[in-house]
Amino acid sequence: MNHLIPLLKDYINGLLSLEDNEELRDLFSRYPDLKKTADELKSEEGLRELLLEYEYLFDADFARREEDNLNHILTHIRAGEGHNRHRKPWFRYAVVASIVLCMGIGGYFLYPFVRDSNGTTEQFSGDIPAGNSKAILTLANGEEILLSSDHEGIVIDNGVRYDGGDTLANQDLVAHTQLVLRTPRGGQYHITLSDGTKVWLNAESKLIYPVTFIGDRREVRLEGEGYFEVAPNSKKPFIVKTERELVEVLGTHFNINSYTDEHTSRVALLEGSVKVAAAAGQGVELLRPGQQSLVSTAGIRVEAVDIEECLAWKNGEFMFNNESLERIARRLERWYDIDIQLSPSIKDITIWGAVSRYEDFDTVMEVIKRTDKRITYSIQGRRTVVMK
Amino acid sequence: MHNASLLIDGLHKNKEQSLIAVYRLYNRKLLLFATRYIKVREAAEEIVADSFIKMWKNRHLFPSEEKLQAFLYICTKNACLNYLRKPVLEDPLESILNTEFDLAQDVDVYTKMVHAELIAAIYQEVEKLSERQRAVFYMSFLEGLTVEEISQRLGVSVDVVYANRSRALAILRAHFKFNNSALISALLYTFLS
Repeated sequence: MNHLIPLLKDYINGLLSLEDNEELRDLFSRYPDLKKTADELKSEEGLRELLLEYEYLFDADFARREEDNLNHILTHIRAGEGHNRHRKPWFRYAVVASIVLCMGIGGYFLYPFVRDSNGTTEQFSGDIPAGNSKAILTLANGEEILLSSDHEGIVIDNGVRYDGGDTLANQDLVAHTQLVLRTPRGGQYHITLSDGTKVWLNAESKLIYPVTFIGDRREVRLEGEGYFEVAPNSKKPFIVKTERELVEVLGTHFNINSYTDEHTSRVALLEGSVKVAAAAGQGVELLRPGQQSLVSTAGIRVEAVDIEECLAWKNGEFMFNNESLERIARRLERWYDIDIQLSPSIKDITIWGAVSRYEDFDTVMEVIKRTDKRITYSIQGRRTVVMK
Repeated sequence: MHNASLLIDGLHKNKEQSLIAVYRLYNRKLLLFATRYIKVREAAEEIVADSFIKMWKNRHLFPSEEKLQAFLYICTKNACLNYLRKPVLEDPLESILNTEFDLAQDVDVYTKMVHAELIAAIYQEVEKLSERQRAVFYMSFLEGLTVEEISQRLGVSVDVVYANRSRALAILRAHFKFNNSALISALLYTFLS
């Protein structure tokens, strides 16, 4: 039953149609009311009703009642078993009874949209569009294949083909060789390796990998930023080498941000565990989910991280957590394929908020201007000057 | 992430922590389920609390989490029907321990159960928002307030409201993994009106 929930969620979200999924068809024919519910949840009104119902049931006071009820249950079962003398001091959870409305946040942000008469959202028109799916695949013989933006990814299995599409290179051409997948500025791409491992490459990044993994380990090289979902195989560890670190895993999900023009290289872990060794030999750290390692010339250290933020790029967002304008500018340069020149007085302005990566450059700049009204910028060709 | 066999193992070893884990895992779902039968919230909460006590009394008898789950739902259903003064003959323990037992056979109960689990799963997405993001989201989506009204209500600038909305949107978009859900479009809409 538990696997049905993701299925139903996908159906509600429009990711799964009844034609495509037999299990869902069976479910709905056996339980027609479930289809009714799911269809209701597809509409705004249905969703609003559901959330209101939920809010009524689990109101601001619910957290307190929930703990009270639990205490009642525990008291009851302890009394029933007659060993009150062993009673442990009961820890009462701190209860947040109401929504906290008065904390200060140093964020200032606008998300400028205009809405056209069709009810779809549209960004302000601008000259510099956002990046999209594009990449270059280099075969062992040096041949370069420009990967179409009609597809979002490629798959390596008995050759190379588009995800759900045409063959790009057959097996004879690529067997036992190393391939290079490279995204330019303004590009991103997705690849499924021969072992089933999935890698998403952010803009201006490079992944070097063998067509088949031979030997007792799976080894790839990364420059730039990539998100990895490594297929589990405890007998063949998966190793990612970057200029600044060596990341070893058995099967897990993590993000590596290792651009050479950044001061720090970061590995953030979502699931499982990974071992990160600084390439310059300054140390080794084992990460737990929700942690990231930072490797710089100062060595390696580990800190807690908001995974949401690390993965925002893959989910189509720029997410800034009090990040300096200087660092944000480098991210924008890579995605919009532009050069940004910041005047020194604004380099350290920090920004908190988020904006879709699919907005054009002007829109993102409007968002940033919101931080400090005195910021101005001018665009000349692919060069932007930002000043105060 | 919980580990099902650990949970069952803990119950077999009389660990209160396992009961608490089961409570955290199922309390809200069972309440959603119970309110499909009875509308009085306080009564539903009492009934569900009783189900956990009954579960504890039989804790050594559950071979798997699946059976434990079925027991909790059936107990709750029977208590709700009792509350509605409808006769119930079924013994939940006998039912689930029968090898032929299949919860999916009971269309009504199964529908209500999947429904409860689905709503809990959807709501989990909303709960990933920070408190302020959630406050902004509720005021716009559920109460239909404008950005200016929200900013007054929260006593913060319009810019801060926008900032939190942008974050809420980004997070919901990521979790729903697409751009056109009713939730997202509604959130966008309320901020544009």
